[in-house]
Amino acid sequence: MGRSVSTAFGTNTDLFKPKMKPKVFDAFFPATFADWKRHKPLFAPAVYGLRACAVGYMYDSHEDWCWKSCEEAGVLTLPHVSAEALVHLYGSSHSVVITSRSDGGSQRSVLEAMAMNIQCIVMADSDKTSEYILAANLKPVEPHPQAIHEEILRVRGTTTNARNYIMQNWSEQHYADAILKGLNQII
Amino acid sequence: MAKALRIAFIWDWNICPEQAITWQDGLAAALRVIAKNHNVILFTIDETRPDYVFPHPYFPIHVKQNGDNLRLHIKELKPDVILHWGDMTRPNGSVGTELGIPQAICFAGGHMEGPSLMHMDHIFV
Repeated sequence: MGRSVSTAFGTNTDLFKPKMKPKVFDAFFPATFADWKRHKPLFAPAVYGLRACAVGYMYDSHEDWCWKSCEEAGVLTLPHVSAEALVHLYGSSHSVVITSRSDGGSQRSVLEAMAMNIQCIVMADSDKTSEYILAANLKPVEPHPQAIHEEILRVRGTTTNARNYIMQNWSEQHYADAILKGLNQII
Repeated sequence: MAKALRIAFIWDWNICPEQAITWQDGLAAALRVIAKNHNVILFTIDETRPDYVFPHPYFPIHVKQNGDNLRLHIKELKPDVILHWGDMTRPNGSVGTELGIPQAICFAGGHMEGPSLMHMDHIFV
């Protein structure tokens, strides 16, 4: 039997849905503090002077410059939190800023932010995260701190209707259907 | 409606309890959806303790101390299909081949080339 490949992906729309929360942060970045997320060259300098939060697994053994650069830029820097807590951090933010490289993942966070109708700022040089933003008729930004900073200010106080796109394409039901279709092909 | 499947799901990493208890992403939610109409049994590994069941909020996860215990449990279970979650370097990627059970993988990022690749009949990306 030949090996087949298909796409199966989605987000937990039951957990990640719009929340009416007081906005505490201008920018929020949920991601492991790893080099390919580009905290140091992009996120930290982009949010300098703004109210920002970054959360994720923090390591002292390698790539500690990722979270240290955030702390030095005045970012509230938190270790991994539960999914329920993550929902509240998303909901308390005007925008989710994903500076990850193309090989740096973060597609999951993009879908979560979109499912909550929060402005999601991704980098134009990451086809992985841009895919969803472009499909929802939104626009990625150039991977430059000043461009990101300006976009954070531009979208502050606004929301999106991206949840409609997620519910039509990338819900847990779509994910489950795609998995079952693939499994039934090999049984 | 199609026949209910018995699906063994293998999270092929040593368990990190902090991560496991908060695992509520799209995949966890999708498995919960699938489990409404199919029998989904989840497994992972903890080399530090004898076998136990981890109380994830969506479903129990059978935590096996090693690959031998995992294979034994799956052999007794006789699933229709095995669904892995990991990359192509995981140590238990061959379990389906060994037991004559078709298997697929939800590719979690990481290494796309590795010994598990030849054992997968389907890859979800």
